[in-house]
Amino acid sequence: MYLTALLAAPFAAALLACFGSGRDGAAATRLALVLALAIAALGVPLVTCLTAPGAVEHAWFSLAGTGAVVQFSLASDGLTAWLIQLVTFLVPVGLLASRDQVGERMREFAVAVLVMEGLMIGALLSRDLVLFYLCFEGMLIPMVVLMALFGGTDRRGAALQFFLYTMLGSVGLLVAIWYIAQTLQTTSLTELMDSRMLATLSSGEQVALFAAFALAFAVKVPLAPFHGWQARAYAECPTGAVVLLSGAMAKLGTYGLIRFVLPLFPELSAEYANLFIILGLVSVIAGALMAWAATDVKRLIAFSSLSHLGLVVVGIFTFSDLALKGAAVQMVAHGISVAALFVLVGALESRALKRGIDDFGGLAGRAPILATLFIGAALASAALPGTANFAGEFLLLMGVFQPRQWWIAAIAGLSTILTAVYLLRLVQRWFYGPRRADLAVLPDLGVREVVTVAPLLALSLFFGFYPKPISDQAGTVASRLGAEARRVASGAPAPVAVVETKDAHAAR
Amino acid sequence: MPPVDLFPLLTPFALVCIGALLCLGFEAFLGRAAKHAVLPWLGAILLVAAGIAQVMQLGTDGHLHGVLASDTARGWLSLTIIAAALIGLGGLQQSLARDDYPGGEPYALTLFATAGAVLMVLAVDTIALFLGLELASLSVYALVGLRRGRRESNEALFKYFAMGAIFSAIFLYGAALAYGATGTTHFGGALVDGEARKPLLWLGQALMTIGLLFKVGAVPFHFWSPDAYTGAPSAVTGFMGAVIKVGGFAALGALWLNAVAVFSGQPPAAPLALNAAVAVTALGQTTLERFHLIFLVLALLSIVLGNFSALRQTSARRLIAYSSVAHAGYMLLAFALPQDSSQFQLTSLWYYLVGYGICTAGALAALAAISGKEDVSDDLNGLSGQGRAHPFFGLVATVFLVSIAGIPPTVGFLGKFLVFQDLVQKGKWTIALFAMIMAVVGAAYYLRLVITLWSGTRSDERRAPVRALSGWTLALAALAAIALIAVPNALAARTPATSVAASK
Amino acid sequence: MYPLWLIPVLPLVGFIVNGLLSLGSAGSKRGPSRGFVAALAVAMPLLAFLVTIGATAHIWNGPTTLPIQTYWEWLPIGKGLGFGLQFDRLTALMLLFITGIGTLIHLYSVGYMREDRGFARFMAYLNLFMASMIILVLGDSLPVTFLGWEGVGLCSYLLIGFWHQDHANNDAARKAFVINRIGDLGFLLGAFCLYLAMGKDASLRYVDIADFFQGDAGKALASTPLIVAACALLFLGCTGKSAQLPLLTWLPDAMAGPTPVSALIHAATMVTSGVYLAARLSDVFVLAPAVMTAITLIGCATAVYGAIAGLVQWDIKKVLAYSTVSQLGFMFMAVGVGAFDVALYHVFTHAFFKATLFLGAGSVIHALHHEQDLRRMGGLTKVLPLTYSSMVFGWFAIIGMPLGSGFMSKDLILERLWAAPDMFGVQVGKLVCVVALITALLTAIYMSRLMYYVFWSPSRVPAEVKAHAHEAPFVMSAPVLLLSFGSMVAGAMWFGAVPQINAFELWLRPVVEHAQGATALVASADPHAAAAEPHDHSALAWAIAGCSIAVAFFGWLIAHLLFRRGPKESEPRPLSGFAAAWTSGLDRIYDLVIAKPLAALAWIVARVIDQALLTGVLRGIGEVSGFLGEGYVALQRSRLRISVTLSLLGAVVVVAYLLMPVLSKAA
Repeated sequence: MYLTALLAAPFAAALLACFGSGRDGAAATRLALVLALAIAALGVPLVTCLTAPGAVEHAWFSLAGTGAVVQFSLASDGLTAWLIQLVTFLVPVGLLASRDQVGERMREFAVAVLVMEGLMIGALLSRDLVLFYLCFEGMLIPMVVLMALFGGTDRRGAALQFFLYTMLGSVGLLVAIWYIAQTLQTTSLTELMDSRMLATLSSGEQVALFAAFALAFAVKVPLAPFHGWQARAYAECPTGAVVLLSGAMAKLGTYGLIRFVLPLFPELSAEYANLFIILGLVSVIAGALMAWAATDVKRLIAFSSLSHLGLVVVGIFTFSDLALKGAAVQMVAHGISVAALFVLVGALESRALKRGIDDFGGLAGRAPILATLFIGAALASAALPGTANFAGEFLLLMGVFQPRQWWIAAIAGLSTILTAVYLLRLVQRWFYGPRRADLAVLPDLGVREVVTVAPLLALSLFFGFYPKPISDQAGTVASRLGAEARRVASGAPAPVAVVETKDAHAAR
Repeated sequence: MPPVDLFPLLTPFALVCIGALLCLGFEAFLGRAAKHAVLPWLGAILLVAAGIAQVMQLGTDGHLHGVLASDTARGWLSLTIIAAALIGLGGLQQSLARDDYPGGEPYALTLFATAGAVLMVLAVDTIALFLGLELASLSVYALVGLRRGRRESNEALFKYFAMGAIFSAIFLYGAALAYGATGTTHFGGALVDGEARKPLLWLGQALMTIGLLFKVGAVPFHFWSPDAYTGAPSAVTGFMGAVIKVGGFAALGALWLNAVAVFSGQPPAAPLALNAAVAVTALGQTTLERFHLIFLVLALLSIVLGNFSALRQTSARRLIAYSSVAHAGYMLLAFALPQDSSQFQLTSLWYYLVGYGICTAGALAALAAISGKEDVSDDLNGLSGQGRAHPFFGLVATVFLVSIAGIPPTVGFLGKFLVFQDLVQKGKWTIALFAMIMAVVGAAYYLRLVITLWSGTRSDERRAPVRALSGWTLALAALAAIALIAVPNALAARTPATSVAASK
Repeated sequence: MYPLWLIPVLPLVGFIVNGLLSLGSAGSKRGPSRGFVAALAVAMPLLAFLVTIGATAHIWNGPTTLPIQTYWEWLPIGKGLGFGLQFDRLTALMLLFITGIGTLIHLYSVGYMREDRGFARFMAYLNLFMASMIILVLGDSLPVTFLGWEGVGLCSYLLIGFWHQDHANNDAARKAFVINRIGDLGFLLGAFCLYLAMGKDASLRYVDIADFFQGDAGKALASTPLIVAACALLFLGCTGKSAQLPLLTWLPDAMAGPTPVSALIHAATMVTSGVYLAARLSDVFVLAPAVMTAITLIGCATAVYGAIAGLVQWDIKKVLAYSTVSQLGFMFMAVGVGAFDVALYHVFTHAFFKATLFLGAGSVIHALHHEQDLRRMGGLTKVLPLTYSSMVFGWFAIIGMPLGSGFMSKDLILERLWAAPDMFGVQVGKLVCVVALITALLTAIYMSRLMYYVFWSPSRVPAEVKAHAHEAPFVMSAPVLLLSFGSMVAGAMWFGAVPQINAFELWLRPVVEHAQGATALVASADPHAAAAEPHDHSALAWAIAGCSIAVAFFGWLIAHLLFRRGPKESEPRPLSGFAAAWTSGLDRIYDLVIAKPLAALAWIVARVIDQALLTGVLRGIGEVSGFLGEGYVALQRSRLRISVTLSLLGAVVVVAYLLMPVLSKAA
């Protein structure tokens, strides 16, 4: 019941925002903000309550010709809970951050954002493949509308490319879902997971399904070489939307890998682990290098998040307990830090209407608060100890570091250096150096902007020193989901229980 | 399927016809402005009444002397047609009043077309079907040629009419041959004397199918649709695209179900319900092999050509025209037979139709409202930024277009989901994968339209006040386009087994 | 429970308050009240110093360490790694001079930076640095230390680039941070190696590490690849922080920062954290003799490099910077031969005399209106008596004049080097010892050169500058004097030649005795050392003491002959010829070998692979599909008859196909 309410809340809020406010931007902002905060508050019990909320499960529809009945089934565990916190927390941030850019059209903006939030929550809560796909794909539309409404000059192309690229990526997923429904007579994730039904399919089928799932999520993360949409989309997105796109939506890719790929295809994950590790490393290094060469700062941040999430993927596919915990922490941490960076870039862009790396100089003297917060965010994203990103990257690297595969951690570790290189380069170009005459009038951050960013940095610090809640709740779940793959990879014998369920299914 | 008496079955149809006549009658006595103020509402009221009547008899399955039949699927499809008609009326009022169109006959014609389409859905007899088909077609021809002053309108009318005449003839000839073979005009009649007349029935079946494939605009019988869709006023385009597709596919589906039953060697005792599950025997498999292949090939051709043709279109109507060809393809995929002899049913197709009908009518009605005088600027240029100017129309248009494109969370997505899942379940997952990829290509142009609606920054915002009728119908339709994902099984027969038993 | 947490938190409070003040007052013309900022900024380290003294009192005699205080669970490593603080004698030693000297330097900065608009920001950064450095030495585990480790790196970045209007400073700051990051990666990977070596549920707390590697399980791992890798990587970390080859190029550039920063961070405290880490993990390092040898050699090479570079500098701060590099080299020589206590002793004494010299130099620069070039100085004895007298003490100590603190520690280093066991059959220790003596000679020469050019040579100071030249205010001269006094007496804590004078050794014994015992064992295993070790220890000590004294005087003499008349040219010109090559050679190499190729690679990846190839493919797909569409549409833009024909043709085909079997059967 509670979960249903949590899922329904954003849509209800969207309707309210639809009718609640006319073309008055300020009123719309207030309303949307109140609603978003209320939703965030509604979500908090997920992590504070000790007992997990009761799962919801209703029959939705039966698939013709198969015994499969698609369930409307929601459930929450640590991983879901923390990512939901991330989403619900970033929504108000996005709303506040876009006030200037969106102006009087706040109503449209708020509606789209709230719908997107609802679909993201749905994707995180759903434990049925069909329901998940519904939300997973659905959240693209509001994003496209946001880009079309408030994006930059290249917004049409960027929005279309973003949509087609990601949708094409998940076409395979849909067919895979049908195939599973037809062969295994169910689309319920828990059912598929508990009795490892997929193991009963032929290896060819398994590989195809595995590829379909992995591709869909690799595009969403994105993982090189599937990042073609990312930089362009991030660059054209309005601030508030890109905060959600990079901070929350991208995490659904890594979430999918942990939630679906690892537990459903443990053998194949282990078999192809090296492929994903290498792609992850390529993303890490190539992303960092591209960020170094970038001149448009939004693209720079896009590439940097390609690099950071690449590390997460590497961690996921080493299956080690620490790495998966680190992945969980890093998903939240990166969401926070990249959001802060984008908000600040957006604030600057809304003042000067440009965001090139050479468009500013000596801002530290002119706008010290902006400079301080930006440097703070940059350091957070460079994983300075004491920030949540450090906790994440430390655990990731530590978990990845294995005697036989030391090179993985070594290469991945290079990113810590390269990150410092390109972020400090940006900081120096923008904030240091002689003051520039062409920036004579450039007001410092206002209260609203400080209120938007400061909590993000505060959170990053808090989780930097106390990541325990995330690593205990989300991390443990992630580790559990990866346990089977870990076992296979390590070549340990299968526990008895799993074998029995297999037989049971074979008998069925 | 038991016999039912005349009254409840025909009430909705009758109400629609009455509405049409009333509109026609009052039209003469109303001033130019009053026409657009009164007639749509008059028609709307009767349509709503028809709808209510339809809903009330939704549960009852039955047939009228083997001529008309009613069952859950037919009920839903008739409702869809009525809904599309409501939306169409709203859209017409919106645009005709804006253009200050002299005359109120379009409303009457809309209702006649609706009646015809409803008849096509209810028909289980070739003559009844032909009546409905012609009633619908003729009124639609007139609607297409509404804008007498405009050249492309006349051209469209001419082309559509000419080709329509030809294919009606083909259909009729097929019906005649079928009668010759079975000795009855009812669907699913058994051959009178064994194998001898099988070729007749075979040919008749083929010609009727072709006639209907023309109506639904599948390749290679689609050449009329781009011109007809573009020549007609946007509101009409949507309405026509919806009701003709629904009616045509309902008839096509009924024919195909019966054919499957007949050629499987077990002709149905009583008329088949649209959502009946028919047993496919090995015999049927072999006999219908080629038919089934024809359907698949034409389906794939329609999907490919329709989608790629639509890619570079700028006019919204022309774009929808080509996409409707592609959609005909998607729906034809539902006609594929299962590989192993087992139950065959078209439930997924009916759900698809419901979604498609509502959303097509809705999309074009919404676009009509913002396409400017005489819909001249319904191209990407003219529409760019109209979403900003008219958030309401922009929003509903977005919902409808997204749904037609088959993107979640909309009824359109679930329709494709069910049809293709059905295909996978029939062992044709490669075709399903291909079709999905083509659907992404399709999504490209729908999304381009959506993005254009929102992204343009035009100074000359054409103000179009939202009229109550179109406002309400569109809003409700948009809600339906999302809410319907809750009940994908509504059109399925409660117990598929019974109808099969009946057919034994 | 003794409030250890106060020690880092106090300066942190200072940082927060001053930082907010400087942010809040950004708009105003002059900024927040200098008095308050100064008082707070100085009081916090002072209080930390007092708290440290209190803690030290607890372990003065009796328990050699306070119980570890764990405050909360930080990282889910092993059984959960707590965020804890550990206070043993090593920590006490480091903290005492960090907070003590730190306080003095804060006081000095109040005078030095008073006029700067960013005064509050500066003091805030200094406090943040204190906090980080304190965490570095107070942390009870590698991760906690790493927190401080990168913290000091950050502060160094902020402070080097403090005057950020000038991009030269920013480049120096960035360079410092990036190079430190390279070292930090080594630190991390080394820590991971240790974690793996210690097996399941290992924690990274120092006590556990010590227990494990002192135990047999740990000893069994001696010289295994894992341990060697661990030590090598950790040492890489040390080279980053402590400016050893190959990662030293950032330290000379770091002189771009205000002089107090150079004194506090780049001479007294941060750069010595490498030695601290080595001592902290001594039990691990001694298990990898190969790495130890490498450390000795690298330290030696660094010492020589720094000394020679120091000889040819004209910038007074650069001279001191290279001398710091050189002195750090001495420390690592000691570390390499397992003489951790001696290394720390040199850290200790060096902190005093190098701080003295830097602050003295600062006063000189201050007096000459930010003139740093030796060619524009000279004859300042009269002008700056206080500064002069204190710098003389510093000079006295660093070149190793008898009884100066530098003499004591350097002498011990030489002694240990000489006594060091052979490594791989080579008498590395003795060779290095000789080189070290030569380096000591060079040290004497370049430091005396500095003194001559600044004080004892005819004045070359422009008249107008000389007119305004004045002794620094009391807040600046007082710390310098105190430090110079310290740099004399600091030597009184341990004199190798006299067995009784070894308070320092005794103090540190509990921390490092095990490791050094281990090296002693290695030594005794080797015949020569076994012979050399026991007999006539004091004789050896006296001999080496004699040599170093001789070297010191000889160096002074040479300097007197060469430099007493001052430099040939008095016009500042950039370094050229050998000096330039020697100084910036490494930079050039790195630029060619690493920076440029990497930048090129970045360009290729971004522009060619990503934008040209990947994006091109995407665009191509779009174009092709659109083209297909247009082609087909063109076909349909047709007249009615054509459409009808096509449709009917289609119909015919369909019917024909359907009827084929039937007809064939009929026929």
